[in-house]
Amino acid sequence: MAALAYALTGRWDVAEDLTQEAFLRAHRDWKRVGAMASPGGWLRRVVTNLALSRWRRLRTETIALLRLTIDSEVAAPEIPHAKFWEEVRRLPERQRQAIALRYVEDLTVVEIAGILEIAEGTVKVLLHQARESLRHRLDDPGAAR
Amino acid sequence: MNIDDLGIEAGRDLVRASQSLGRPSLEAVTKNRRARAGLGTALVFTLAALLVGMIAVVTPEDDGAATATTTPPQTTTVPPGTTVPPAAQPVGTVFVPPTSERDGMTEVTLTLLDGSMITVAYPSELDLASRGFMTALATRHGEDRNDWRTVEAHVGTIEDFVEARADWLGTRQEALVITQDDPISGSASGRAERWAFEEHAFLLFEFHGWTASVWDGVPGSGNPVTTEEERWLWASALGGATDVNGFLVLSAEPPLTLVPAWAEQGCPLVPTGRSKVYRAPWASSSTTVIA
Repeated sequence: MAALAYALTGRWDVAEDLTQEAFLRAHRDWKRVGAMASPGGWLRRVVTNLALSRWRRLRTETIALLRLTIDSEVAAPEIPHAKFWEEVRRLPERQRQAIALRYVEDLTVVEIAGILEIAEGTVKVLLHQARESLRHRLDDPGAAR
Repeated sequence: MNIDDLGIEAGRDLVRASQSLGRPSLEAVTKNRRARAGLGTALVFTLAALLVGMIAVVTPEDDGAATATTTPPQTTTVPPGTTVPPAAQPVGTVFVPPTSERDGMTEVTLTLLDGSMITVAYPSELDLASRGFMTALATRHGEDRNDWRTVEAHVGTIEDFVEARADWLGTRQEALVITQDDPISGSASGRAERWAFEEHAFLLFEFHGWTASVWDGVPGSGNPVTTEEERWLWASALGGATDVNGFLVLSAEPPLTLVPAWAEQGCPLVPTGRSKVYRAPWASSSTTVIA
């Protein structure tokens, strides 16, 4: 889940914070969430929503807050394929979500559609558009800036 | 370039990287991404169990405005009236409180910024206290839902605060002494300054060996920037003193008010590093969750 949040935010500390918040929400509302057909899907939806559209101010403030704590003992891991994820984060939000769920969470189109609450066809379109954009940008790093 | 192959490889490597963080983490249950069949319920059950397993008991001694007690504490770990000696050494600018051990749990008693005292217990292997605790509180300065800021407490002077962060704050602008031209006679007993850097700015208030910081935006960052009027309000209405145990306790005069941090954001106290300690109002006022 933290990897998913990282793919969307580009920061491990923020990713962990968002993941933690998502699980706390699940814990707080477990009677309802636990009764769902896919609590895991609900969690992923919360993480993607938190990462992209909500708590922007909190996210920024959290970055500042976390850095205030100066934790030199915990080093963030080196990110393989950093360029790929950087370009993913430049995609439109829905494309970004679809790509992260597809490649980080290894989900199918049907599962992604369920989490994002959109049609399967829309997911296919989003993934196609995202792949095209990524191919274009990664082949030509100066493109679409 | 085959984007699909690259994406699959990148996703797999990212999950591996997330597993290398190497500390007590909820992510442990996701380490086998290929074994995700039936993940949904099993995953959440496991994670919920982890969370519940890490519920720590907090004993409010003077809950003040921070909580409305609805249930009695689950355990009593510190007798009423017990004082906690201040720690000998801070870690950076974070207060390191003394701890005690009991049945595999570490207990630490803290004074929050609103003056309420709590005892936090957590599995000893988490070793949170050695990283120090930083207390935080939300402060509301207006009627609008967004008119609030988080205040954090740091050991040391304003210079200590800035020096400890010099490596990541970037180029510093000229510090603005909020009270320079027209000294205030309000409750603020120390220096009140705004320090701005490349991406972040802070209102810093110095009280008796502590510095209270309030995060602020900088122009162009897209984040809210305090107005001159708001800074003046902060400087004139925020006060600070230390309690018998050496912890900073804040006070505020209207229209500035101290509010439980969880009401706005969720973190009344923060151990250094990335974990947060939540006082969990949905569970009971005597319980907090360490995650």
